[in-house]
Amino acid sequence: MTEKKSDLYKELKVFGKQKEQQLNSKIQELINNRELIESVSRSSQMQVPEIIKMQEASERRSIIMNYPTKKDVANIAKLVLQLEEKIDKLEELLSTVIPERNGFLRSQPSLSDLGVVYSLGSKKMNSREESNKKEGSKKMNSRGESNKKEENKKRILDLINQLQDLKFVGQRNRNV
Amino acid sequence: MSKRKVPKNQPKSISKWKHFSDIPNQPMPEMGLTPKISVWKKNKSTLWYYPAVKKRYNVPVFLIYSLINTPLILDLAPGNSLIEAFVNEGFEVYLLDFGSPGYEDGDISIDDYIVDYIQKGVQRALRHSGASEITVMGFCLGGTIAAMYAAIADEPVKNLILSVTPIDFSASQSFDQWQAAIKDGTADFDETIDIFKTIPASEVKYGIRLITSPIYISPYLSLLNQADDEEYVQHWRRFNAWTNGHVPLAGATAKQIGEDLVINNRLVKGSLRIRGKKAMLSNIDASVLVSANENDRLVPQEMINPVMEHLTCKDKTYILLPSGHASKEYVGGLPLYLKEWLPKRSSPMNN
Repeated sequence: MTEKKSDLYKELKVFGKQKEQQLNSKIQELINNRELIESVSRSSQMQVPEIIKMQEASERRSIIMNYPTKKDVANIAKLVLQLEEKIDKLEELLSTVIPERNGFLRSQPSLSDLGVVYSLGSKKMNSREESNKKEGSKKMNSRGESNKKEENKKRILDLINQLQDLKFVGQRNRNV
Repeated sequence: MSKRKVPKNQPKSISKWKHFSDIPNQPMPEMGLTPKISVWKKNKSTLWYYPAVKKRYNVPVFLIYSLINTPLILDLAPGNSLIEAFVNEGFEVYLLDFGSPGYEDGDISIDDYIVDYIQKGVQRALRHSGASEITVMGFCLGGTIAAMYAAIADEPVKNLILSVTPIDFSASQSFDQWQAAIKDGTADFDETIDIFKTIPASEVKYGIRLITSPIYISPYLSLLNQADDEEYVQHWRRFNAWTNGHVPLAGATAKQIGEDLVINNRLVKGSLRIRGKKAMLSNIDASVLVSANENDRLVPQEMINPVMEHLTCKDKTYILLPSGHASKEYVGGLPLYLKEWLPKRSSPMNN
């Protein structure tokens, strides 16, 4: 008796799946209809001017009521993104100056935006990096300013650390 | 299988129903538990790094998931996670999670995703790992943009893996009438998309549901049938959370999918340009593995298979798997086809 009842769910599952497939095929056949999609398109296009009017009215009201609209929020978000991109570019620029930072960063997950360093093995990046290195060493030899360069590097490293601290607030993953 | 304890005097069928009705009251099982570190962030996107348990390969894996769903499916639970399988096997893994675009992201196009997010992400991953080459793996629509990226990449992409990736959009069998109306321009939703800036997650969900299964009861009947199997219930709930976890689609991306892929099928025709660069499949010189699923209703193999004709690289493999769109083959380690294909192409380390 129990066994029979237990099979009920199994049979229900098989029956349900079968009916589901049949109904789905039928529905898809019915709605795969050119007139239907065209009428949906037409009705959505008819609503467009009304929605634009409402959005414009909301923008006008926001001037009087002094509340921000979605457009204002989107503009701020875009400014933040611009700032993020500037930091990215700065990091990339710095990474070409101090490629040997790679090992140091890898060992510190908290400074895990390790992208500041070009890969030592990367084909296309390699050539750029090597030329930077060569150029750097030539300059150093000719000028004899190794101490000064070290100081500069230290300052740049501090700057990167500050940038990363700014950028990664609240981004750490708890699983680690 | 871990069965729940059933009182001796209680019939099995009643027990199943009781467990079934009790499921909503139980806490949601945890997901995405493989240890990870955020290595880069841009806008809503995050590049996650999953360190290898014991690094055995020099070529890291870079995962690109679809734009309409979360990548949770790749790390559902311990023992049922592709990412966990990769790291256990000795691969370093990077996952680019695009996050959930908002109203302010409505202008992000496919070009932007490829150049500003994927290309930058790959550069970051290469620098972070110190690797000289990388494997890029894309899933579903993420695979389509992975293929586009590989076609314009300046970075050293050694391997490209396309999983259930639609390439030929003329081959879609279902909803041919809709496709015809969109192609002719008699059905046009661009103005509507422009107003709302994104396609909301709920619309994405019901759109996908319409293509695959408008009536959706069989998963619940399967759950009822195995409601007394705790392990099954936990897996079902995780999978169901992913199934319902769609994200909004940026308006510009939706319009570009319509224009470049659905209407003009530019990737196959070789006329696609990404920020002015020609993105032809024949540009891809990486080793390519393409996988399709036999019972996939969302991306049938007719949409995937033509990629093989257009790829001109020497090392290309096509594999047909006996499953549906979201297969559950990540249980118990790396899927066999990946285990056989990827390690020898990933510069094994001499330990």
